[in-house]
Amino acid sequence: MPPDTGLLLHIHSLVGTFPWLDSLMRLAVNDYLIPLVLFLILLGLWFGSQDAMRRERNQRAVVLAAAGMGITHLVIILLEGTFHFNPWLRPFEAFPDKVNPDLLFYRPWDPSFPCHAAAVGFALATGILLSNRKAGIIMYFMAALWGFARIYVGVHYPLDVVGGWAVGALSSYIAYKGSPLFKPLLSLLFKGMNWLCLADAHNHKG
Amino acid sequence: MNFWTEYFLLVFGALIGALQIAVAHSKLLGLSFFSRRLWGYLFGIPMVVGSFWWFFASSDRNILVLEFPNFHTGMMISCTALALLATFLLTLSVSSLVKANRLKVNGDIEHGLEVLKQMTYFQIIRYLFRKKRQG
Repeated sequence: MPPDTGLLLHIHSLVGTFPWLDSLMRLAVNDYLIPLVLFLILLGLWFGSQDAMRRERNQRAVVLAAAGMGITHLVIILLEGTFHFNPWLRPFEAFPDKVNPDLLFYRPWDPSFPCHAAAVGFALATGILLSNRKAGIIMYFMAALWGFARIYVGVHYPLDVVGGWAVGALSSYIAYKGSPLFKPLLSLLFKGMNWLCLADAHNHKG
Repeated sequence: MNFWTEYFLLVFGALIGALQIAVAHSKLLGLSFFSRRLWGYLFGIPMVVGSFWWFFASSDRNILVLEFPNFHTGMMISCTALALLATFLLTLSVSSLVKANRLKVNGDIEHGLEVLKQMTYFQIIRYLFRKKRQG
């Protein structure tokens, strides 16, 4: 049992108290809304700047954020598939009389720790934050909302979300710091996309 | 309608709208459906909002998806990738057809997105073919 069980039960006890909060969390916890909004932000960063140099910086950030998300998925597959890391039961399994996610969500069957949603959301947000502060802060807010909603409806502990943040943020940081090692590959990718007029590559020429 | 078809339509509609908003902001007229940037915003915003509204209002989406439940993440990624491809194909085609007579090629061009401020994608392809034939 994780040490933050009390905090989870306190947050989950709010369900049914404020209808507007229930409606907000019902939307926020969804598997499709926030991921798609994050994806639309990435699309906006790729195409949305009037200045070519700034657009190129944003495009590079999008590629590194995607790489960070890829590393996050690999880490989770290793943790769960290879090492069968599953330190505790889901809240609704451990406390069936106190936690009921059925009011706002369904019952996931994969391990509780780390929270996949938080890992993916924070991987993308961190990847962008390292290059574009404004967009990164907005994405961090959305990822945090998604993670909190998972606690609110009773499918994750706060520590699961913190663990997801750690996995996602670290994965994107590794992708960011490791990018000089893949400079030839990145240059080739951007040159190709530049030739196809789908990306900018002023800094990747020559 | 199958869930994944509905999800594909959500992503497709939202991407079309978001892309028109982005190209209106960045003045990439060669990718826009419209000659004026304002129309890009007026089309894109309802498209994005409408796609989300339709998807979430038409059915409860906080339930376990019964079609391919063991491949949920893979199906999400596949449908998103397909929708992205369809968005690009539609956008490149429609903007090129609508803007065929409105944008003119002036002199030599460089590659990259910047060239889409002056030309449509079909014009770029035609220009590159002509340049190759001329040697």
